[in-house]
Amino acid sequence: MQPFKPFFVHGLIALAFLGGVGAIGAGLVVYFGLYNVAAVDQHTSPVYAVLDYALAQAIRQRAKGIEPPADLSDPSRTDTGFMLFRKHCVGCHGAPGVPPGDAGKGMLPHPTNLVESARGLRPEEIFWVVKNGIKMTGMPAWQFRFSDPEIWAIVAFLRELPSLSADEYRALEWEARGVVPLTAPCGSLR
Amino acid sequence: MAQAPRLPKRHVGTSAPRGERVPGFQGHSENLGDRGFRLGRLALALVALGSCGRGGESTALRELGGDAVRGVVALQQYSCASCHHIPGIVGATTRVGPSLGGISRRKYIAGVLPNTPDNMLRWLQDPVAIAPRSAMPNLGVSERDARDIAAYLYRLD
Repeated sequence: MQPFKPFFVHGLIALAFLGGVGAIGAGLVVYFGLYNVAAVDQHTSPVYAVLDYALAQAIRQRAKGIEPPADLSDPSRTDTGFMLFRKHCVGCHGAPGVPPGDAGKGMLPHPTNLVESARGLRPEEIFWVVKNGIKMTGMPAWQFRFSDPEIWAIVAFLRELPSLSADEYRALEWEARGVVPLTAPCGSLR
Repeated sequence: MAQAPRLPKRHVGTSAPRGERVPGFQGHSENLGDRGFRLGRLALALVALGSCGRGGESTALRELGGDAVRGVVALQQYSCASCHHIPGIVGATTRVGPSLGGISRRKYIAGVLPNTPDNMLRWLQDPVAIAPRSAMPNLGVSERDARDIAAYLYRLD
């Protein structure tokens, strides 16, 4: 045991020293503004991979225990959801055949394409993200603007989004604007 | 398509001297992160490395002009990466639309338009006019930005 103890102590001292040097180095990088916060400066691949994984894991953990309503895909719900979606979501996320607005285009990270999200996330995960927002991404929390039933309505519409073609989405949009009579083809939502 | 006024000749890709600023990107060149372009150049260097020994740039590619380094940033600034997998762009892994890898070897754009540099410029600026039923919207890409984007895309293996 005797030779082990000094080795252990020296190891600890070395680690503490390296940790200190690292902390000072990190402090200097921050102090001198070396970390570029510009939105045109994409993350390095490892940083992005860690952040993206952390995001997915955090959403998965926190959405546990949230119970979607049994009648989630009820047509009246998806209709309400579409009205909220076209007003509050399209500006950054776009829709089939509809580009995001200028603010959405200029963001880093990019606002995700919601067709992708709708296929990749469970309803309760989408609910959690809409309700709580995502730090440092530009995704706002909507819980102080919308009630829980309204957020579920958005979730319900998002579940339908991947089934809509650009034409069908456009028809819905025209109908919402009152441009086209109700007889227009409205995809799976009618 | 009417030929647009030629852009001033600029270094493209790996031959661009280190530290050269790329002027006039959306009128805010002085605010641009230098590192964004350095990373862009790195991505391009890797891409160029991959295409070594394939006999250099084609005539069409030279005529296209455009600044591939600036194209990397433009590809992000027009949300291309939120739908397409694009080699060299971090986080561009979604498959809402087709991957843009190997697009220089694809024979048709969007399955409808023969893949020539001029057609690529048309497509990037007004995809809806070419494929009205496509889910790809008009992103409001300017002629110059389309040229830079195409310059990058055509260098992808």
